[in-house]
Amino acid sequence: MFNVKDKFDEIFNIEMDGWCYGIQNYPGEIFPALIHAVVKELSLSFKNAIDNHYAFDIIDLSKRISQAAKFLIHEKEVAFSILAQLPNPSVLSEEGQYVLAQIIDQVEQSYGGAIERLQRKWQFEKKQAA
Amino acid sequence: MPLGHTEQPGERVAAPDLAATKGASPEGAAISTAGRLARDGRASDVEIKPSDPTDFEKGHAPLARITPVKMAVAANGMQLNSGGAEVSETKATEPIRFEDLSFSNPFSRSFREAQNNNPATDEFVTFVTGKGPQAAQAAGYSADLHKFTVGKIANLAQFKIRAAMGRLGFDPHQRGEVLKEMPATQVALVKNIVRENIAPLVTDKIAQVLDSFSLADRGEVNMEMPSTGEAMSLSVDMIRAGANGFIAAKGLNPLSFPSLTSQRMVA
Repeated sequence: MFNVKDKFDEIFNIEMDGWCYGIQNYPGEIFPALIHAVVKELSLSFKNAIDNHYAFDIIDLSKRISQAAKFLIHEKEVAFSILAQLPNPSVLSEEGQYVLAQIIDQVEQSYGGAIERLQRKWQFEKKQAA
Repeated sequence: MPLGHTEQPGERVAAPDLAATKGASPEGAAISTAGRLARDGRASDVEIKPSDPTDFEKGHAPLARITPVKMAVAANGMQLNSGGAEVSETKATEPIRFEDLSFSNPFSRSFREAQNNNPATDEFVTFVTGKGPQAAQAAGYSADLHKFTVGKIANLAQFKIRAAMGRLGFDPHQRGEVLKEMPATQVALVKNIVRENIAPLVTDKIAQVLDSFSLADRGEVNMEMPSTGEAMSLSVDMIRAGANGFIAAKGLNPLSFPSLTSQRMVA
């Protein structure tokens, strides 16, 4: 287990609280594609969390986002959407890969299928890069 | 006990809230409960039977009588009776299926024919909307999701939507035309019914959607419609502005948070 660098856990959670607040107070109608787009915007933050050894609670974050969106998008969908924005392990350090595994494992334990899908995604990205 | 969290066989589940809030029949409410149980992975074979079959003969189920409807959904094995919803163990079977549907409404035969003739369809979205993606979004789904809404989910969705239409006094076979003539409040009601009854089932297909559409094909999640890209960016930036306000109100500098400062340029 690695220690979180530079209290990044606090920074990350404040940032996510901010986005949840933004979603919650969005004046228009929330729809799933919009939440997917927001999650996509957060990809850099997810990468930073991993680089700073912070295995964030993806299930809790998915619930918070789903709740902010008035449950119009299921937390499972949010969780898989977040998974899809996580970096490819090939670009991570060994420590980063370990942290990434901890995050993915939460979804695997809760819903199943996470590892299998991500492996397909990584293989696809590998082929694209080749 | 919250709905969908019953684990003990034989335990009675509280009458689903759907009946009270949306005027659904006990059967519809029981289906809703079954769906929730299934969604939570607590039930693989959910059988809904009327607690008193004679109620149907007395006309207490004006929409449809279901004797019984079997929905097998997930993995464990439960049996659920409506009108007091009793849960007991039963055999796990194959995924969602309808069995022995019988209807008292005039449209029932046509519905069954339509179902048989069109077993794998995304009709539920086009039914609500008549316009595909726009309607899907209006109903609260991703515009692309309609492409992946197939088979048994669509069948159940058709049933639910037609049920809602019938409840509102419309001929469900008028489909999209009906919505054009409906007052906005009734359209909203139909949408709510769709959301609350169908969304859990659709959500259960999300992994497949991600597999077939986003992850495998594109290597990323991207459910945006190209035509809505600009509007989507604006919407995201509005949410970002809200997030910035939240951070600033805490006395923090939004510039410290990368995702809050990477605002895109919108053409």
